[in-house]
Amino acid sequence: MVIRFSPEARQWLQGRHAAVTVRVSTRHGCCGGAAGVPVVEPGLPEKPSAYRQLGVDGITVYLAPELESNDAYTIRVEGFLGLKRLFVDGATLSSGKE
Amino acid sequence: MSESRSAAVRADDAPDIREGMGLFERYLSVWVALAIVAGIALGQFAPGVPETLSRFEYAQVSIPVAILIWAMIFPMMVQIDFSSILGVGRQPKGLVITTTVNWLIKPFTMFAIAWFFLMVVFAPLIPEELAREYLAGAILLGAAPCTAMVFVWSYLTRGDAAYTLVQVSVNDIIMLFAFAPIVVFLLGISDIAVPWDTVALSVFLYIVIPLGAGYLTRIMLIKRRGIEWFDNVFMKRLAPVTPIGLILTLILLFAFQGEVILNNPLHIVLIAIPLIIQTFLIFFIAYGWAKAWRVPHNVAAPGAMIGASNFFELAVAAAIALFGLQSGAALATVVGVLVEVPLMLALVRIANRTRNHFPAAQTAPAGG
Repeated sequence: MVIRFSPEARQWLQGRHAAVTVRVSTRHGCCGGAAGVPVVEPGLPEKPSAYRQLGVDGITVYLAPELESNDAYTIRVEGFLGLKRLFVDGATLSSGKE
Repeated sequence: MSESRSAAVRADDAPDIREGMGLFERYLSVWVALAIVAGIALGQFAPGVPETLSRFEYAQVSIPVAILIWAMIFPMMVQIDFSSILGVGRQPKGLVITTTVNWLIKPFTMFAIAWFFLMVVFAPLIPEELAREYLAGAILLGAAPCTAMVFVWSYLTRGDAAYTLVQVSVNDIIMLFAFAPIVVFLLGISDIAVPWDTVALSVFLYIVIPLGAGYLTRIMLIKRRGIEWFDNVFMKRLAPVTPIGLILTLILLFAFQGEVILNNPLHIVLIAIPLIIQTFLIFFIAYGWAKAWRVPHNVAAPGAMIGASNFFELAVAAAIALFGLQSGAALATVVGVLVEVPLMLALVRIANRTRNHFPAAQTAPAGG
């Protein structure tokens, strides 16, 4: 399991957030069905103990158990007009079923 | 890789359809067909029910219909995450392709194909006035690309998760501004007169209100209960409302449409033909373009799927609002629902079998 931050993401997080949460957000289809979309958010999860903790570049990454894999994830920051948001690259969509 | 994810990935590197779609959604066409039969039976054997429901009106808007339409659309709107638009700079080729195909090509090919079949080829089989109503329904379908189901299609083709999020938010924002003008323009050149104020009212009722309510609900609930509660508890409870609203709307619609269907059962097949051709055409335009631009498969597939699939709840809602429950336009949009899932699953299979024709996804180095 490899998690990296892009230099821009690392710089953006510096002084703002000491932790990020990488989890699965379920999106429901209009015909029914669902897909799990990997998302990353600054800050701690609601139940940190339910997540795996990793230290990367001085930032604590809380990783949802269903996202643990052999993949390499890259956390990036993107945005415009002064607004920024984190995205996670390398994580694939999953079944929205539990 | 975790056990659940391993199970979801088959040997050909494509998830099993059953992993992303349950029994209801895989057989949506069957339930829609049953709703049609139930609606016709209701209209024929208990005509008092639809007649009574049709009396509940305010400002010429049927209250039961409005409630059912909001039930269909609100759960889709509440899960839209507009902040994903901030990723608009990623995968620019994919976004150029999908935005161009969805908004500059798809509505017009839908119009052209539907007009050619319904007004020319099938002219001996469909009375002109009815054919024009069917054309109006096809136009509404063509102007409303998929907004939610594309996550499932993207999962089934192993699409790029972050790109799918971004393309959906870009698409939703464009839809807010482009849906009404495109519909009015195409209805106008089809000689179908719809007053601007009627279009404006239906856009306000069935796009602006559910979208605004969805956005405010999302913001408020996330602030109070947190994003994880919103995703894992609230959305899980709300998700079944859309398919239930859809099926109930169809039953009500066909309680009014019974005579039309019983008199012209062949029309469903005739309407389906241009819709099927359009779905494949739009998919292959976007997919072929992505291949020509050497876009990775995990962007090409969801980029092509979003245009091929329709936001049919919106199309059904707009058809009912603009032309009424008993209109041919409403019937045409329902045929769109009827064919949607089998067609999209066929495109999922095509996309998965042609994966090796595209460059593999590049994992950009994080640097530093």
